[in-house]
Parts: sequence; structure tokens; C-alpha cells
Amino acid sequence: MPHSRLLLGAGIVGLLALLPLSGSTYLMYLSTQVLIFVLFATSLNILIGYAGLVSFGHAAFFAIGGYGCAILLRTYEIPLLLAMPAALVMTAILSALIGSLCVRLTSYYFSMLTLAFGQLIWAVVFKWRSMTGGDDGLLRVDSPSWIDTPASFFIFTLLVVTLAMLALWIVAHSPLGRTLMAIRENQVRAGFLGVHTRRVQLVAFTIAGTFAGLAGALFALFNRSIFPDSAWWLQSAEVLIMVVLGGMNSFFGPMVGALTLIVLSRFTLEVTDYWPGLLAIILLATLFFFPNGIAGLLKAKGKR
Amino acid sequence: MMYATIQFLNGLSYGLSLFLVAAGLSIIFGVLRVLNFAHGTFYMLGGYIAYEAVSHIGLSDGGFWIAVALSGLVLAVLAAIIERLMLRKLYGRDEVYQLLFTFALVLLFSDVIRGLWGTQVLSISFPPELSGAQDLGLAYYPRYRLFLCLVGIVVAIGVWFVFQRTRWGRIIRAATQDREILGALGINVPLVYLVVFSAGAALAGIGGALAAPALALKPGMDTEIIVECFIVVIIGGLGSLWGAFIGAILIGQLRSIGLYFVPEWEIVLVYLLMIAVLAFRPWGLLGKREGE
Amino acid sequence: MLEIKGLTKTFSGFTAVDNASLIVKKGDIHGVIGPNGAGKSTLFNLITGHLIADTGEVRLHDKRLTGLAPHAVVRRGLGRSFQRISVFPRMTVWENVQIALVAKDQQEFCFWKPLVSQNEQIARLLETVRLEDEAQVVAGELSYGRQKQLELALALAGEPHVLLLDEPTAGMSPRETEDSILLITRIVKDRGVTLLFTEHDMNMVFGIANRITVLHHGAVIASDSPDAVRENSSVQEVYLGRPTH
Repeated sequence: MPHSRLLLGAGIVGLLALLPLSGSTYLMYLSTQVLIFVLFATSLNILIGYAGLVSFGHAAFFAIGGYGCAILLRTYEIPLLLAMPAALVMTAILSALIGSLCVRLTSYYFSMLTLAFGQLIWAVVFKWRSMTGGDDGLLRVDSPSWIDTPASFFIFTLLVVTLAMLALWIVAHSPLGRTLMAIRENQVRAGFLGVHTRRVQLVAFTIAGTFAGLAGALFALFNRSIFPDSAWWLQSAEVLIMVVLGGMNSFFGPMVGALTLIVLSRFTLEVTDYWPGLLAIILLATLFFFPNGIAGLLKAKGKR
Repeated sequence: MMYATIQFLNGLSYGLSLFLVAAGLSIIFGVLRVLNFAHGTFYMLGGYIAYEAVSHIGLSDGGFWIAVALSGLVLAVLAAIIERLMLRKLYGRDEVYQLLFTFALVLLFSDVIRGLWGTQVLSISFPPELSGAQDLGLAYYPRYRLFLCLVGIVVAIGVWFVFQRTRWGRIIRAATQDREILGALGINVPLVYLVVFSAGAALAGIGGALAAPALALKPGMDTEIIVECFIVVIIGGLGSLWGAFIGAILIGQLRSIGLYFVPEWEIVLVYLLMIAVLAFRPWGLLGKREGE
Repeated sequence: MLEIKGLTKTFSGFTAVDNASLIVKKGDIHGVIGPNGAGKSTLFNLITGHLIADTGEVRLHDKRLTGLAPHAVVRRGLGRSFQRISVFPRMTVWENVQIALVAKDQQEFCFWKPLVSQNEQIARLLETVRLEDEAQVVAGELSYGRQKQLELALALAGEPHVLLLDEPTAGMSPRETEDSILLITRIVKDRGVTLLFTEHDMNMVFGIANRITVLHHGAVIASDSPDAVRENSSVQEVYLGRPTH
């Protein structure tokens, strides 16, 4: 079973790698964006789907990774292959710090604290003008010449996201992943099997934050710029809804959610700017009518 | 001395209006075990509804007060409808769904407000009865802000009275401590939930309407206030009314001190206080330790 | 082996456990009895770190357990079941035991490689508690008695030196009770585990225990062999309900 899944995944990646042959820049842009959000959403699902911890501030780490990479690259002129890992280390440290405060109490506190810290990161980004450019954002974040074209950047993103998704798949299916699910089911019992439950959750939080940071770094390179909006709660809400819509009880659900929302937002924003309202309706519909998301719907169909 | 007095009063009036919102949030959580992300949204709606009402009936001849009452009423009805038609269906489900549901309300209403009132900053003038400044001996201070302090205190005492001295208050306190006890006592639990959710929303709406003359109405105020309410209940202890009171007063004072010493960054002070509480008393100043 | 000295716990004015002391020797089957509200469960929660004692201490192998968090207590060699069923309800029986083994091997932080199922060990544990046929059943759908058996497997997975069972037969039918008594005594004998348990069912306690402690209003009024406890006058007075004169 995992073997066939692996083959399927390899097949999809192989097909995607052929995309530049189509010659459509638009398609390449769209696919790059989808890939970035697939990674972002899957990183969040480690928390929601596996640990049962609903983060309302995941965009904070997306922004930290993005700003970190952009600032190192642009302000300090550090080469990309150093800047990106450095930005990830920075995101990991900050996720561990913030995470250690967020997992101290119940899941309700977790949700409140993630929103609060998310907004704090946004406020810092917004007000620290000398470093982040404030609400003007950081412009001219230039990629090195070898990933300068839409096609080469797409291939680069495909490579990074594929590797990252593999890593996240392993995390989800590791002893840690299984332990997270056990903690979600019954924290007291897990604790009395000898599990230091909070520390396990903290490790998961740090992993999730770091991979969100990777997605953020790619996003900054992709747009050649980054703005405080990337840390704003609406960004957190969007990725959260990708996870719920796709299906939080499945590893691959958030990928479907990311694809659906990105494509939908493209079309919607051409007609109206009431995107948040539409997001809310999508979220409500999911909660009441298909709580296991699109992946849940597909699975139910498959069983019949 | 004069400056200090004014700063203190600013902090107090801000803290007390924060309490109006945080108290509702805390009570709703205590009884329904639902963390209402939309509580800041109710506050914001209250402000905009008061603005709309005032723009039709005017401020004078009690117009402002009618507007405030109307805000509370509309929010109570709206919240009752939301609870009855939607939230109720989620009680038995995983808490994730309840969190996501109230979060969906935040998204939805932020766009509804944007659609109805636009994105420009709106404001209400002080009601004529309370415009101008009051001589306090040490300093002159805006009458309206003094009034806000008074309302905060009256509400705090009022809620305390309801909790301690009435049948409803006893039911709510019992529910906060042990939810299973309610059904066993033969109490109409769905009704209790409905009333508590609706009353909490009304309190938030009135808070928003009363704050409108002192603050500006603008997009984003919903998340701003809910984040501060979360900090209040984290500092005070989730589910504790007095915890919310102390947390709100502390934050009000801290902000006004911060505004003086580190303008622009005063919010960081608030976060530092929260982090300190989390580090040393993670269950909040007046909260109960988990598992006991 | 397990030594409890002067444990006291007060809940807002009400003393649940009052200066309780007892000693459990290696290989003992030690029953704790007492009327409802005598403080049995509180005593267990104090031993396992789920509650923090006001005064007193607990020692295992002469090392202090008091003040340790539950997960650290387990690591010192204590296993327990809970009075209210406590398993992972939406996971299969197999997965439940798997988690327990991950925890026992201290693999819970391992995120860099996929989980390798320790089939043999899981199968052996399931066999021990006679759940081998239910391995793929979701735990929450098992019957009450079966869930108790699963709990036993979870507790045993940690290979504890001392096993604490909080009312292992509560809520069971007479038939289930009989079965589980047989199961527990067999496991204790086979594995050489020391057992400390609370129980309502007097027949069971006097049938299997070689030492019995009686709690009344949180205080230990007797801690002795079954025969001595049966003859103890204050026990008869407060617990067995027979006035002595």
C-alpha cells in the first residue's frame, strides 16, 4: 500500500516536472504558488490533524521564514544557498520559543496564544521599519540567476517542496506522529505511559513552524517581495481553511485544499474582493456538511 | 502629578471597557466551554450599529443612549439566532469544530461590516450630556471617559450581584464548576446556554457602542480587541470573572504607562506581562490549576 | 519496595487523604479497601503524581517519587490503570499497544524515521490480556470488560515493577469479574509484578490479596495480612459495619 502511494507521488512529481514544456508562464506561476501553499498547509496539518492543536497564527512562521530569507538575501547580500538555511534555523528557534509558551496549557489556551503571538509578530514586522520596511514591505528580493525564470523557479520549488513533503510524510508516520495522535486522543493516558506530552507537542510545533518558514522563504522569492500581510491573521485563516477544506484527518487532504483555494481565489479576486467572506462560507459549509473535508468525501465514495 | 492622574484615568477607562468584553468571553467559556473568537466581532458590530443608529436619530435628546441600547439588543438577538441555529449543532462534536465555527464568524462579519460601512475610519461624537471636561481638582478630565469608568465599575458590581445573589447566577456558577450537575438538577440546559451566549454578546455589543465615541471605528478592531481579551483571560485565568477584571485593569494601566515610555511599542509590554504570567502561573492569576 | 509515608491531601478544607502510610513489599498483592469516599483514588493519584500531596512522600526502590510529574513516575517503574476507562478510543487495540511500546522505548521524540511496528511484542502483550482476536477493533467499540483488559495491556507494556490498578473490576458483570481476577493473578504470578490495587468487591480482595490496607476518612486504620485485618476490631467497627463488644 505505501509502495503504490510512493509510486503515485513520484508519478505526479514527474508529470509536474514536464510542465515547463507547456510554455505557459501563467500555468507555471499558478503551479508554483500552489506548491508553496501545499507545503504551508501540510505543515499546519501536523498540528491540527495529528496533534489536534488548532493554530490561528501559523502565518507568523511563514512570515518569519519569508522576511528572514529576504533580509539576509537583500540587506546582507548573503547567497541564497546560505540565506535559506539560515532563515530556517531562525524560524526553528522562534517557533520553539513561542511554542514552549503555547503548549503549556490546554488546547483552548493554545488557540488563543497562537493568535496572540501571530498578531505580535505582525505588529513587530509592521513597526520595525528599519529592518522590514514596515507597511511598504521589502521589494526587489532577487533570486540568483539560476532560478531567475518562471520555469527554473518552478523546478526549484518543485524540488524543494517534494523533499519537504517527503520529510513531513516521515514525521507524520514516525513514532512522534503516532504519539501526537495518542496525546490528542487522551493526554492523561499518554502521560501515564511515560510520554512527556508537552515536550512532544513542542517538537511538533517547532517542526510545523520551520516548514511553514520554508514555504514563506519560497513565497518571498516567488513574489520577489514580502509584505506584513503575510503575517496577518487572515493569512493564517486562509491556510487553516485549506487544511479543513482538504481534510484534516488525512495527510494528503491539505494538498487538495491548497490547490482548490488557490485556484478559487484566482478566479474570485477577478470578480470581487470579498474573498474573506467567501472563505468564511466555505469554512462553514465544510464544518456542517463535510467535516472530514474533500479527502473525507472521496474516501466515503471509495468505500461505497 | 496632573499628567500621572490623567494617564491613570486613561488606563482605567481603557481597562474597564476591555473588561466589559473579556467578562462576556470568560463567562461564555465557563458555561458553554466554547472559546468565542467572534467576541471581538460582536464588540465591533456593537460600535458600528451604534454609529448607524446615531446617524439616523442624532445624538441629542437621549439619541446616543437609544443607540447603545439598540446595539445590545441587536447583538443579543443575533447571538441567540447563531447559537440556536448553528452553534448548538456543534456541542457534541470535537472542540476543533467549535473553535473553527466561531472563527468563521470573525471572517464572515469582518466582510459584512466592510460591505455595509466601508473601510474608512468612522467615529461618533460624545453625547451632549457628557461632552466637555470635568474638574477633578488635580486635573481636568473628559467627562465621557469618567462615565466609562463608572459604567465598568457598575457592570462589574452588577455581574457580581447576579452571580452571587440570584438563582440564575447560582445556576451559572454551578455550570462553570461542573456542567454535568445542571442536567441532574433538572435545569433546561439548552436555555441556559442560549441565554449566556446571548447575554455575553449583548455585553460585548454595548461595550463596543460605549467605546465608539472614545475610539475610532475601523477594520481590524475586531482582532485587536479579541487578542487583548485573550491576553486578559490568560493573565487572569480563563473562566474567572475576577481574573478578567484584574487582567483588564492591569493591561489598561500597562498600556497607558507604555504609551508614555515606549510609544508605538506599548503592546510589547502587554505581551511581556502575559509571558511572565505564563512562565510563573500558567493557569492565570486567579485561575484554577488544571486537574484539581 | 513502595513506601508511602505520611501522605496528606486537602481539597479546600476537606481532608481526602490524612497522614496515610503504608509499605508494599516486593511480590505483594496488596489491596486497599475502604468505604466510598475513603480516599482510595486520591491516594493513587498522589502516588502517580496526578495530584500533588500537601505533605508526606512516596518512595520506590528507596528513591523519592513525590514531586515528579506522572510521565517521570512511569519511567521509575510504576504502571497504572484508571478507575474510569482510559484508553485511546479512536485507535485500534493494536495501535493502542503500539503507542505504549513507543513510550516504553522512549521513542516518542523520534520524528526522523517511520514507525516500525514491533509485531511480536504487541502480539505477546495482546495474548497476555487475551485480546489477540480484537487487535484490529477500534478501542472505543470494545465492551467495557475488554477495554479494561486493554488498559491492563497498556500498563504492562511499560514493564512496571509495581502495578497500580484502580478498581480493576468496577462495572463488570460477575462473569467478567471472575475472568479478570483470574487474568490479573496469573499475570502477576507470571511476570513477578508487585500489585497494589483498590477494590469494592470484598470477596475479590480477601481472595487474592496477601496484604490489605484499610482506609477510613482518608486515614489508614489497618495494614496487615487478610486474616489480621478481618479480626481487627476497628476495621469491623467502621468498615464491615459489625459493632464489636
